[in-house]
Amino acid sequence: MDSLANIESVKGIAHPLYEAGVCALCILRSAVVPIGPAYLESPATIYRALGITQSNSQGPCPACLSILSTELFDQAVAMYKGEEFDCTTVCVNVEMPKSIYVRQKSLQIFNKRTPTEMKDTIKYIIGKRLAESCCVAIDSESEMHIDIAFKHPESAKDHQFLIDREGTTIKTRSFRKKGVDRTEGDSTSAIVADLVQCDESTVQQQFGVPPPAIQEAAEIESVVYRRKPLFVGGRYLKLERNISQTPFVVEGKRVTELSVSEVIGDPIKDLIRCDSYNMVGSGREDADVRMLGDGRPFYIECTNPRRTNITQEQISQIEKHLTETGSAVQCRRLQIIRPEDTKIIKEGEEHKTKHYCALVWFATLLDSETLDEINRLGSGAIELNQATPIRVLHRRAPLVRKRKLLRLDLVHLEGHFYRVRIESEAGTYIKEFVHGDLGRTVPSLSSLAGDITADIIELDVENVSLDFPPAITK
Amino acid sequence: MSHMHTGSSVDITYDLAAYAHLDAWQAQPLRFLDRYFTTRYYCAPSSSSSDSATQKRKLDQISPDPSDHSESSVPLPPAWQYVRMAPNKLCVIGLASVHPLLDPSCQATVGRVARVEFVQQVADAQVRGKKKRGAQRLAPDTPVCLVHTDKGLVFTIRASVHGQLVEWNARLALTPELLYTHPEQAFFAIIKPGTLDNAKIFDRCHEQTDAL
Repeated sequence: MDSLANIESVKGIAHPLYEAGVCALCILRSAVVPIGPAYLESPATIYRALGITQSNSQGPCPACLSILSTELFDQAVAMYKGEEFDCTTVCVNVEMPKSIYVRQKSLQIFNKRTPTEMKDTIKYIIGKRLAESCCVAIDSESEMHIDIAFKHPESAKDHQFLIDREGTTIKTRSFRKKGVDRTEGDSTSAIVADLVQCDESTVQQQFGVPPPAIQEAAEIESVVYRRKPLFVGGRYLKLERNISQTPFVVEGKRVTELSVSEVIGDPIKDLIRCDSYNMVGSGREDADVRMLGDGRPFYIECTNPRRTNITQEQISQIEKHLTETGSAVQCRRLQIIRPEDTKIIKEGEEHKTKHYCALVWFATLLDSETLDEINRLGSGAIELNQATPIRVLHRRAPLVRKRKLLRLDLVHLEGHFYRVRIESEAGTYIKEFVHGDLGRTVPSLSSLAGDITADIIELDVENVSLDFPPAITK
Repeated sequence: MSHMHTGSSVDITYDLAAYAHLDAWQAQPLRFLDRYFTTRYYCAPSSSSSDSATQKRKLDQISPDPSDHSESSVPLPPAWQYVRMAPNKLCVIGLASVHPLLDPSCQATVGRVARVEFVQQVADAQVRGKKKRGAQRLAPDTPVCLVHTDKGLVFTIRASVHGQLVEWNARLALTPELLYTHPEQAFFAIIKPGTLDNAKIFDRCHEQTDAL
């Protein structure tokens, strides 16, 4: 009861406030009791200390809309506890209905002193409850944010008298948008500013002092969690064709059954329990092209992870599982990476070379001189001018891109089939280099062969030469 | 998954037997374009319709000259231009193989191509950016290009579809012989249709050149 030691100062105004339906904590606030353990006491304890006998018919508190109630605090804490975030500190943000500010003004006029702030009270109590229930400390610098918003539709128009009064500082605009009437300009900050200007008699006459009674208590509108994302990096392999990098949907239907991001992202999502994930690759290949060798670097950004203390073994388990079950999509070097490492992936896309292997069909067989000449050219760099391929021209700007093939090697397999291995600059369209894209990629394998019609039958990426993320040392 | 993937550095092998059907391409190499395009044929407006005088004059230029007494007259198939549509709906337009210019039996009357002249608006347009700003809007009958032969005939090449002109083939203007040496490279233009609906895109087209 030490916390209520100064209760004498409160007794004077306690009874009238109680008569007006104000709750125990708001009585403490009205007496400007400083934030402290007093606010953690139960209403019964406080009433006893004040010498108030409780009657049964106590409706919701008109001062705080019963936001300062055990029920709502328990609810908010339970919601947070249920998520099982693995962090030790938390920063709580509170958003209250606009009417609260009007009611605090009313309370202030009644008590002839400014009550202890609502937000400070809420944060203090929730902080203490979270500390004992979830073992987290309140820290305004914490990377874990909880945004709690309260709603009270019944009092939504409480501030209307401020807008209507003579000499108001609130400027509202009413308009119609998308078939719905909207009013803007009566923001919380505008209301707070106007309350400072508004004289007490207006509040008394147009609103009510002490604050008028309400039927319903306020409720929690939302609890939003915001946390720094977790980044998982690695290299992915695509060992079968018709797999897109991210889910590919056209007119509501999936075009490819699998996607790289889902095969790797779903188990990661299950492990770290995040809201959602987003995969970013260092470039990409078409759905009908395989990604072999040591794979293509990527990272997955996981939003609002519940677990961040993940061991390397746990992450590697995902990699192991995909490899051991012979999955069509596998990964290598899977590991948690730092946020600053993600830009390496994007930089590599533009600057690093790629190695390809393709199955090519020629309309007529190449004679040995032509084949030798192509390979001779291919031992050095070949400069290409590629107009935007027709197959992507609908969504990319029409340009001519200069690209280099650093190496090219062509061998005859059998019949009309040949194999070509190419090392090229980033951003080279290999398919168009083979068939020439109706003469819009010059030179092309077709033109180098002496204008023999050529087509690409299968394409594989053998290597992406960006060394990231680092190999894991066991 | 039908088979296990070891994922180690695989030596790439191909099951060529699976591609035996490509033997058909040997006879007609340009068949490979069917993998990439849906082909239709555009029907120019007929000379009997009440079109402008200019139109009629141009069409008269390609029908047999009554004063010409050569024994073979130029046949008039109804659809002389192809429209090759890619899966993303972009349309490549060009001369179908039945066009008089490409028909060896017509060479005596028609002559060989001398000059490929793209219509002024087309040549002047600057198409920029993803949204193709500055692209000329076209209707199916809009003239895009005039092909002059060494016998003084002029063929009008029309857009064939509603849409925006994304690209015109400058290489063809420079090297008209492409029509004979590299027919698939001798397209006239690439057009982005105004609709994604195939029926509407091909409103003025037929599946075969000898339709109607």
